[in-house]
Amino acid sequence: MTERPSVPFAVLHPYRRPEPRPFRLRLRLIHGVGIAGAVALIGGAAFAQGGTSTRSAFEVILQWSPLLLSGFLFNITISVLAMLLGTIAGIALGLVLIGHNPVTRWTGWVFTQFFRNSPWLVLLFFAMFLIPYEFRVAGTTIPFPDWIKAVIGFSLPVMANVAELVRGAVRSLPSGQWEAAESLAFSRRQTLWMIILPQCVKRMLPPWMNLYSLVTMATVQASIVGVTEMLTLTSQVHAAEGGRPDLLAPLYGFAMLCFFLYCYPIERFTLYLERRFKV
Amino acid sequence: MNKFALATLAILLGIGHSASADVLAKIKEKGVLTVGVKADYKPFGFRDPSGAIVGIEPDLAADVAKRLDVKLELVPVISANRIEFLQQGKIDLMIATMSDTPERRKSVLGIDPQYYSDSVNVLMSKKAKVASWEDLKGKVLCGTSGAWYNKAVNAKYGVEVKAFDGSEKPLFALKGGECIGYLYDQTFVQGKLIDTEWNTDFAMPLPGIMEAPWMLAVAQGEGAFAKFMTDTTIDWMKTGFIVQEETKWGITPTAYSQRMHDKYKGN
Amino acid sequence: MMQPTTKADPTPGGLWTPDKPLIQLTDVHKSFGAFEVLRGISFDVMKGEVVCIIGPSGSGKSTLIRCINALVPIDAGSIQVEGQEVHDPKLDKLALRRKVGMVFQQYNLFPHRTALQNVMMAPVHVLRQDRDEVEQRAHALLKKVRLSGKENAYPGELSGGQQQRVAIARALAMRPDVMLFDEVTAALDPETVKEVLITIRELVEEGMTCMLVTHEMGFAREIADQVYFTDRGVIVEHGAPDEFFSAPKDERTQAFLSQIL
Repeated sequence: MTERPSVPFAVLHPYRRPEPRPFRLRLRLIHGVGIAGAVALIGGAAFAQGGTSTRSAFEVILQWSPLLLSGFLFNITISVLAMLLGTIAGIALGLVLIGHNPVTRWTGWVFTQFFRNSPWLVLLFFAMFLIPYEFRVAGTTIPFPDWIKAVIGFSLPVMANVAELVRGAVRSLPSGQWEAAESLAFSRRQTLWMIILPQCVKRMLPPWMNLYSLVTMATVQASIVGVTEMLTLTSQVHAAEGGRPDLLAPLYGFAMLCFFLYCYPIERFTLYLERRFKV
Repeated sequence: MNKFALATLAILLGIGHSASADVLAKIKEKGVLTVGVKADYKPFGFRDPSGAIVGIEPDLAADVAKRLDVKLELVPVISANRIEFLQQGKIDLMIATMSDTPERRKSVLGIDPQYYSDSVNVLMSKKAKVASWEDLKGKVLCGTSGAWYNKAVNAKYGVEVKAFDGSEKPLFALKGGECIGYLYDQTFVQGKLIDTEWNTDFAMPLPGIMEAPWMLAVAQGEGAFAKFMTDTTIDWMKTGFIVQEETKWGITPTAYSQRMHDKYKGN
Repeated sequence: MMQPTTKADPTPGGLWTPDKPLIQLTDVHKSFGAFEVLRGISFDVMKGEVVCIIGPSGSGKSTLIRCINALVPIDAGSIQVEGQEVHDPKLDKLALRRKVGMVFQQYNLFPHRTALQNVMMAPVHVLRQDRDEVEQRAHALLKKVRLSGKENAYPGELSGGQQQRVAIARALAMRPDVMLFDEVTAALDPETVKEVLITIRELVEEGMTCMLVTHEMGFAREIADQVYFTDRGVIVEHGAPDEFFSAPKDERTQAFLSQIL
């Protein structure tokens, strides 16, 4: 294949491997988190080793790491479930946003804007204090622990953001796709599910993963409403170790490092996908 | 509108919780006593490396469960949610370092007699030659800004209180030699002194002043359970259980605990 | 303005017979906001006839062709396909669109499906025809447009000309009675234009009723039965290609042809 006509729709171009780009060190927020975590961990540990009668920060973290990591796993669980719930609800809401009915579309828009523009912590508080801790359905009691409420609390902004992603991705598709589908007599529903949405997945994936990264880092806010996640445990561990001021930096540094090691590969992969799908 | 949104709305609009009238019956029926305790206040309630919550208050909770012959479930609480949890019925009993105040008595049912008491004390450098509160005149203590007793102590004993935010900063300042001691809650000071980090160079040479009792609490309207807890508390005082617990967890028995033990053991 | 054709009697009761116009436009008007794109267009297309519509950009050619399969609603007038009013709100659009195949300037293939799947999708999911039978037909259609071997290629892996031929095969898979071509070679580079035109000519030779909006004057002259020149929303002139191209009567036609030829 030689020269190609300039087609305005990049999706119609064959995929070409991007030019190998010179390596550039790009500092982003996430790198800052990782670096700060590492510095705090190492620096704090070195400082703590100055004392003779006390255990080093490294020993302390090593001893508590199973507990701390179990807390971290909990953060991941919350983030994954919130993302799952939020994405399913967000796709539904997004479909409402691109729907034909003006009433539902307007309602959906209000919904989306409300949850997109509320602080996550406020939504979390709402979820925490408005959802009962257990439900009674047909005689059986279904417990509703805090962490599930946190999942719901975080899924609300996820839902609104995913809805916007869906709406944006659908809008960004060339209208020719709709026309072609219509001229082939596809129904609107068929067009959405078989033609439009499958193409949107690709466009939505990088920002969606970005959102996931943000959700993961936001899960520590659950500590404020009393969910026993990593940050809560970190402060409890600090208390259990007698509140040594020199342990503060290494302990929280460890938490930062965990989040960094988890989020950084996601961030890299997102960048890769962005480049791969570059429009 | 999508279904999830509707469901969420339904939840938000409060398919409310039913406050059961008799929590004792509920505990016995479920076979579980759920107690709210602190997990960040050594030695009253804190984590061990396995993740379990241990300390004086979990021990008290365990004793209550034993008396009721049910299993114990501990729920970590923080100051911001402990009253909420009790009102919601998420916990049956609160043993969470809560000071007795008239406002709180309006929200929950406080148990008399109060099971414990904090007071005001000083985490003092061993180098400082201070044997009584009066010796502090003209000296500098670190403190936490907003503590209600800073002003009173300054007025009564003529000591200057240099206030910092929170409890970490004044501890740093104390280590840095900016003051000879840290004026703070006695329970906190005792917690610090469990660790070698602090007990090598610091001590608590003074008696506590300005007692601030802590109360156990149950939900409003749970008179029967409150009565049971009153009896239990008096029994703890009678047998010296709380004093034993203090000793077990490495702190010097407080004047309050001793006094209550002395008062009830005669009966 | 001259009246392009003699009006056939409106078909009574929707009964259509091949001797009547396959497509019949009567005084079609269409505005986008204040701008009137079509200002009273009327013409007939008989079965087997090949009609080319030429004219300057913005003269409403693409809108006109889109009105015929109801992609664009009209404001006034009537469009009938095989005796059926296209802009009747009770119209069975499925029935209309299986009769009318359409090919676009930008191909509009579904980029997430292979060439074969693009051809198969509508018959399988819309007409609910047997998948194996459709697949056989799709292979045959791709062979017909000289794309055997490209069945599993994604649109992004094909050249513009190849994509456009897949698009033609895709439209043909619905077994339409008439094919609409909207400037199908305009986005192609010169080498690939030819392969698309050859494909269209083969269709014409098989007797397919075709309506083309095109800038390929030579091609129009070669295959059209009737050529229509539109400007500013009206049909300025029409006629058989030899007559139309060699002796245009209207001066706007003359100006346009002298510019383009």
